[in-house]
Amino acid sequence: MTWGRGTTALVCRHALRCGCLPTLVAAALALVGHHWVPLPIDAAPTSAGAATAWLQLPLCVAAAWCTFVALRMWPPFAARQPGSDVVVRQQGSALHGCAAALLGSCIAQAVLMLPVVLVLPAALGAPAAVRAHVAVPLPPTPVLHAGSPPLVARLPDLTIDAIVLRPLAGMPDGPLLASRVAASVDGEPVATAAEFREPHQVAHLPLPPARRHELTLRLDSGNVPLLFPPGAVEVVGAATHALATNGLLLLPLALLPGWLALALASLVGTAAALPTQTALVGVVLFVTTVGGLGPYDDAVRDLLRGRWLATAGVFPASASSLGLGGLAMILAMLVRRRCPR
Amino acid sequence: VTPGAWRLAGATVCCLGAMWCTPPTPARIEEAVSWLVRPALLPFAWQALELAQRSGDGGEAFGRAQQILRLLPTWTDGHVVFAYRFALDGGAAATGVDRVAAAWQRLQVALAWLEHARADAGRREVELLQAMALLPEVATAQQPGLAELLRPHGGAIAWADRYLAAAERLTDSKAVREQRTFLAPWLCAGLLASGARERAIAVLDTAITRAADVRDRALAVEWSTRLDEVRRALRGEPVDLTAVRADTRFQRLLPHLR
Repeated sequence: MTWGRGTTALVCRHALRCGCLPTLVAAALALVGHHWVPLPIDAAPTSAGAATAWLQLPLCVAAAWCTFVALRMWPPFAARQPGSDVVVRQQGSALHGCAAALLGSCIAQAVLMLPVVLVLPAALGAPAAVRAHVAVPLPPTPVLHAGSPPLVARLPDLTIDAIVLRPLAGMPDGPLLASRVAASVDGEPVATAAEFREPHQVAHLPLPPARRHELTLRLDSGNVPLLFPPGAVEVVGAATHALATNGLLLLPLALLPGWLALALASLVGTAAALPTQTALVGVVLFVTTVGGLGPYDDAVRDLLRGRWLATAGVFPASASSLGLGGLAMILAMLVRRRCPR
Repeated sequence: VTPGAWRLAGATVCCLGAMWCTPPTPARIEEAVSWLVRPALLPFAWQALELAQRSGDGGEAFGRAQQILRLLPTWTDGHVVFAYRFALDGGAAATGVDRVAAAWQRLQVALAWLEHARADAGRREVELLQAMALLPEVATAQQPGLAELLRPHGGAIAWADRYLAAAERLTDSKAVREQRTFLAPWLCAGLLASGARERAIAVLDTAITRAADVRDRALAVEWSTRLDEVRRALRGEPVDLTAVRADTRFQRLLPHLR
């Protein structure tokens, strides 16, 4: 089977032909929407993180278009499709060509999304200098209150130049006295102390750039109990990365929803007809993109906030989606082998 | 002629009739689209706001709040609480002059936001103006350095007077000035719902000061005593809240008082 006439190439070409214009229109709409329909008050220069919807729009359109094109174009994705028997007889593969069609759809999505992830984040105001923000794992009871022991944590192997604290504050144990947290890194106290009185307060503690190994947080004074949930303590990497490179890192994560939807469709398609399959793919795409299930939504947000995706934890978080899709394809192979058309 | 064609013709006539009765304007079309998409967008918008507060910066949370309020332009409570939260946010600004300059900028932005919200406030415009009148005083009390920056503009009192004068023109009543202290439970409840305890205490401080404007002295003393009890409870001091609990004006605050 050659590239030009194989299933992958056929689906890819067709998806590109069908998806190019809608993606282009969606990208233009996103640009126009962001710049011509601004928020009533444009206050802070760091609000690019609030523009995730505009970046998601063309990415979701490209993913949806290519996925639905593959679903409708390749008959074995759904039961009782006209032409399915012919295709199944001619295809020697265990998935009756669904894997190749899925690959074609993913290549088409990648081609359509590439200019979007390279150009649009900068146009939406994402910071040009991308920095690594790595969450510091804390002890099992990450609480600071009067009399509690200091929190000691190992720092990631990274040259850092700041620590960010955003604890949750509880009710004070008496007349309100702001809790003052003293941080020390490798035994050396950090010059700036942080004070917390209520939730959602953030403290940035700058450090001279260096590799550090251990962070200690101690309550110096105050009676506001502080809880540090996962992600409440972050270190900021000293190195900066290019926004375009960060956009490229988003690409595989943006392909994940479409890949998962078609992988599940290849399993369910052994019994379900096209309308059911269309609904299934639509639901999977919706919950994994707009719905925020999986790493895609977080990755888009981190990209626009100027956080380096390679260290943001979004790649490990994609393991469950990859595992689910892989399992669906393995099961699809087994089911299709047991029930030949 | 088939029945389908008659139905189509009937629907077309109805549509044209509706358009003739209520000609579509860009504002009406925007409102209709907003009405249609609101149920689908709001849950995600709230989720995004929570995430911005938990892991984003002040600018992002501000942007998300504006997105929600664009979907709900007539929600005056929301405008006021979000603007107060933004204006009184200590943020991650540096100390000293930078901090005061940042507070000054936030105050201007918050007042501009509330000014923008006046167009959709309807019959609650007076309350909105009263809240705007209180904000410069609360901000100055929270960030004393602001007073210097406000002085060339007449100070916080002059700013408040401007908004109160507008409210007086709307109501044709001089009582507006003394009523603003009674907004405190409403403002505090909104701030406390988002965990902004310190900012709620700052609002109470100013409201207690403004209670002196109330001409009925007995009412003024009683009101400032109740506000002080709430303030002490929020500060974690031991205080008897029986009178506050019995007062229906504080009903919205009760879930936040222990």
